[in-house]
Amino acid sequence: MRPVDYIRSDRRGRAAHDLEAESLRDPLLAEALEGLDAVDDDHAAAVEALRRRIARKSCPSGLRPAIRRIAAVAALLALVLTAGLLLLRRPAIPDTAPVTGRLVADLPKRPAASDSPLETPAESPEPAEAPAATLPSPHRPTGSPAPAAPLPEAPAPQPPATPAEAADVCFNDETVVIAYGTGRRQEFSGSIRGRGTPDSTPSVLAERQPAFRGGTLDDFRRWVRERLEVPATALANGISKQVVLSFVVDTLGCVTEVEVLQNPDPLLSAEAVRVVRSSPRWTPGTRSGRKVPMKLILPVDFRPQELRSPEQHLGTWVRRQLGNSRQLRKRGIEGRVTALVTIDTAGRIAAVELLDSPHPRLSREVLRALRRAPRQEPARRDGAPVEERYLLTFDFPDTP
Amino acid sequence: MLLTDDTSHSDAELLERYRTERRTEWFATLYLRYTERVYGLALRYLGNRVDAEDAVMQLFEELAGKVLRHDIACFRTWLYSVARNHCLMRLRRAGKHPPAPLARDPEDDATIELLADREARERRLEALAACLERLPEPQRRSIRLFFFDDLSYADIAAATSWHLKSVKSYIQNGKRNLRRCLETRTR
Repeated sequence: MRPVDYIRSDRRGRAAHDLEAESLRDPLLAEALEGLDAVDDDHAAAVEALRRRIARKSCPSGLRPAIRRIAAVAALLALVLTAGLLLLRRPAIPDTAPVTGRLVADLPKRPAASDSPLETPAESPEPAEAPAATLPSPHRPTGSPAPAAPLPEAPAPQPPATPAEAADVCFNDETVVIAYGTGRRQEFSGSIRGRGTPDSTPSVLAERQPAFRGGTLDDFRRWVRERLEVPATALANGISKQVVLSFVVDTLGCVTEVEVLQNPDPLLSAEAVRVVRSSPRWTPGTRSGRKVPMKLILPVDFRPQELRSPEQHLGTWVRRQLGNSRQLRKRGIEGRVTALVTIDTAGRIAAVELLDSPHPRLSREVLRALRRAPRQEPARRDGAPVEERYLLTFDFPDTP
Repeated sequence: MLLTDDTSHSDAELLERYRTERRTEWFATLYLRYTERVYGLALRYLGNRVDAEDAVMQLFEELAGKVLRHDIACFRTWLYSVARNHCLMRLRRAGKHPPAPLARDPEDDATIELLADREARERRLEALAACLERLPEPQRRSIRLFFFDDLSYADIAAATSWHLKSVKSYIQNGKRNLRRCLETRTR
C-alpha cells in the first residue's frame, strides 16, 4: 500500500496495518504519513507530477533525439490512420452543421423538443467576435466540413443505435476550450461556423433531440452529478458554484467539443469536463430522418457538502419531483405532508413513515418521489456512519 | 530505460550502478522509490504543496551529486537525515519554527522487531507473556491486536471504540513499558 493510498483510504485491514507497522520502524515513512495527513491536498496528483518531472530530468540527452524520432513516426502514423478513417466515414456524415439547441436542464417539466429555440443567423457571431470559442480538434472524423458539391441525396443510413451500442464509451482526447467569465453565452454557435453548408445552419429544429440512455439532458445531468467528486479546497467558503459546459453529441453519439462557458474555478471546471467526457454514448439527434451533430448546454452545480444534509437534499428532491403537478392541483389537493424518513448507514432510505397528509394521492406522490431519491450522505457519529431519522415536511403547492 | 520501479534491484545495487556507470536513470529509479515519502516529509515540515514539491526536486538534484561523494551504508536512513536537514534549513532561512519532533525512541526498535516477528516472539514467549500481563489493560489489548492480530489502528479503534489517537499512544507507551520490563528480566 502506498502512503497516499493509505491517507485516502479508510485505513482498515492488513495492508494498512503493514504500512503502520513499517512506519514504527522507519521514521521517514512515519513523518511522511504525518505530513500527508496534516495537509489537505490532492497528494496522488502531486506525487504523480513529481515522478514525471524526475523521470524527465533523468532522461539522458543522448536518448532524446531517438524519442523524438519515435514520437514523430507515431504522430505520422496516427495522422494517416485518422485520414483513412475520415475517408471511410465520409458517406455517412450528414451535410449539415451541428444544430445549436438549448436544452435547459433546470426546467425538467418542459418537454425536450420544445426546449430548442431557433438560432437565428444574427446570433452567430463573426469569427472576429468569438476568438475564444472555437478550435475544434483537426483530426476528428465526424462533423467535418462538407465538400463544396453537395453529397449524394441518399447517404448510407446508419442503423439506429442499439442499447448495447449506446452503452459504448467514446474515445475522446480533444482539446477543451475554456472561456473565462460569465457573459459568453451568445458565442455558443461560434464553434460551428465555417463548417457545414450555410443554408442549413440556422432556423432548423431537430426533430429528435439526442437521447441519453433513452432519457433527456436532465437524465444526463443527474448522471453527471452522481459522478462528480467535489475537490475539497474549491468550495471552502461554503458557496455553491456553477460550471456551464457546452458539448456536441456527434452523429455517432459521442460527446465531443466540450467547452467551458462559465468557469468559476479551474479545479471545478476540470472535474466537470472529466465527468462529461466519460459519458457513455448517446443516441444522436436527427433531422429529416438523418443523424445530425447537436450542441447541448449543460450547467453543472457544485454544492458544498454541508448544504447537502439529507433534510435539505430530500426536501428539494421531493419538491422538484412533485413540481406543481397539474393533476394534483386540478383535484384541489393542497396542504402539508409530514414524513419521518430513516436513512441507513449506506445513505439509503430504509423506512418512510407518513405522519400527516391531507390526501392519499399526495401521500402516494411523495412516497414515489422518495423511493426514487438518490443516495444521501449518511449521518456520522465519531466519524462512523450511523442510522438516522429525519423529520421532513413538504408543502403543496410549493409556496416559497 | 529503467525508471519504472521493478524490485529486482536493491537500493544498494542501484546506488552502486549509479556510481560506476554515472547514468542518472539509476539514481532516478532509486529516488522515485522514495519520492512519495520525501514529499510527505517535506509537507510535514514546510506545510504546503508548492514548497514541498520544490524541496523534492531540489533534493533530487543535490543528492545526485552527493551520493557520489558520500559513503552511504543504508540509503533509506541517509535519505531521511539529509531530507530532514534540508527542510530544517529551509525553515531556518525563512525564520520559521520546525514542527515538534516525532515521539520516537530508537531504543524501542529492538522491541518492535521482537513483537513483529513471530519466531522471535516464540523464543521469548515466557518473558513476553509475563511483561504483557503487567501492562495496563488498554496498552496490552492494543499491543496484542496490532502486533499479534495484524489489525490497523483504525481497526483497533473500531473494535474497542477507543479514539484513534489513544490507540496510537497506547501502542507507543505499551512498547516502551515492554522494553523496560524485558530489560530488567534479562539482567
